[in-house]
Amino acid sequence: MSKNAIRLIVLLGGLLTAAAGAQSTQFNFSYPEYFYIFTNLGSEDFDFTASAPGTNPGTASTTYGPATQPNLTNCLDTILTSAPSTVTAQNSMGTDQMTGSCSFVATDTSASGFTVSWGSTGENPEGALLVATNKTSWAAAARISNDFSQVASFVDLQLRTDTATFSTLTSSATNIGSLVGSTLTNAYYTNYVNMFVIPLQYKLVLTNPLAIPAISASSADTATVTYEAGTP
Amino acid sequence: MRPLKASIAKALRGILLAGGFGLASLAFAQTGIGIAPPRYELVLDRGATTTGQFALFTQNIKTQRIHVAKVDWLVKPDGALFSLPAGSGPYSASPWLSVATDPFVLSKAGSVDTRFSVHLPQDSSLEGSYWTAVAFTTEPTATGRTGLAARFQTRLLAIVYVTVRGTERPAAALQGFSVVNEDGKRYLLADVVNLGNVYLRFKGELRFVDVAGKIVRREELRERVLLRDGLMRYRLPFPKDLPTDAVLVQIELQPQGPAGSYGGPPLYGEVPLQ
Repeated sequence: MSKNAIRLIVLLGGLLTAAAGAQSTQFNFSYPEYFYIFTNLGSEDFDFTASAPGTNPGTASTTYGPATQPNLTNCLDTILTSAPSTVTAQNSMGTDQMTGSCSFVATDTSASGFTVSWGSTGENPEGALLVATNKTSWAAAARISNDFSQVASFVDLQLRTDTATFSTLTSSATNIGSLVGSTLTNAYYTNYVNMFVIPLQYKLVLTNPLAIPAISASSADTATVTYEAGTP
Repeated sequence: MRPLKASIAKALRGILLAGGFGLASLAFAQTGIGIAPPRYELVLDRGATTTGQFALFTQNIKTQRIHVAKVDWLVKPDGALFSLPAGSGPYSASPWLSVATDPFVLSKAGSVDTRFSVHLPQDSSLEGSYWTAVAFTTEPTATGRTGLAARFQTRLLAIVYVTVRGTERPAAALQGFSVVNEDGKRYLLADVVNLGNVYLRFKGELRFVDVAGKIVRREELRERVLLRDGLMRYRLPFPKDLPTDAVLVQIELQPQGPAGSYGGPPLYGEVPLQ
């Protein structure tokens, strides 16, 4: 697996460790009613840290390309180890397994006439939110709980689903996916009963190059992105 | 004096090399939590108290620290859900809900039950439906690195509805049903407004009818919720393989109030396809 790509751990029926793809996990809900969300990008997986200047990213070697629905589906098809038909009960996830992960390329981080490289070891903020529920409607949103405190004036963190336009995350919720009625917004059905996936792509935009020197090697600033979901 | 662009480039290069920008993620700190049941729909007498519990669970995720809070929430017409500070939303039931808000640890493949109680005041002015939620939020961990970081956390809203028994006045109306073209695609738009004092759940169907009045296609409309004073918009793409002889589309929505109450006829609308 390329170090230049993020391992998008997607679980369908199975949820797994991220390591080298050698482990498999069974996943089984036994609750009559349940709602579960999962993201492969955890609290420490999304760091803007050192790299070298260079050309625009987006060319990192990878197997599956950008985090789009077709690529996501293609990857899932290769790593799932049980047939979708094994899932029959609407209130049970079954015991499907997966034994792999998906790698996706970087998103574009250029802005204001200069570029930022992911560097040779960078892994990129492409991910997915996976929703598993046997309720007939749900909704998920993203918001920045606490924005960058020091660099907010010249950095924007932006988000999009795979077919949308990048937009700046703010403290107000941004709808990233929902199932309302029979219509899915931004999310996709999977081949598995009651499981949905939302491809997500992030972008760091440097909005004010003149302020960049204000960032030093010791600059440490954090924004927290909260995925908020429920089944009203 | 060096050109500004060169200065910026040099500064940027130094920053990048020193650890300023770029993006790297090395760990795999997935976060995932589940809730069961995802919501309670309580119908209570004034002055009554009841209890319930939510099971917060995870599967194959490392130990997570969970924060608990009461929040209010609303649903936008398109179905998007967003939370508000407790007590700030309309028809908030948060003052009546009691839950321990101490953080707790959710172990790998573990489950933790959180009990709550709801006391509906003996207040004759209370009528209809109110709602709130218990928010369970994973705690982002420190990156331990310099530079800029975006940390991720997940939050589940465990929904609680409270309806004052015997005061329900369910009512809704279909305010519009039309065909629109957007980005070269056709959609059916239907707006439904809540005219009563309780939340409503809707199921229904679309029926495509030919010139002879025969139904040539049915499309199920799965459940949606419409809050008190709310507006709900259906934006339905046309079926890809719609029979060419369909000339009319009908929509029929069956509302259901708390505990199944409604009592009125289904909401109905139709619009020609040509």
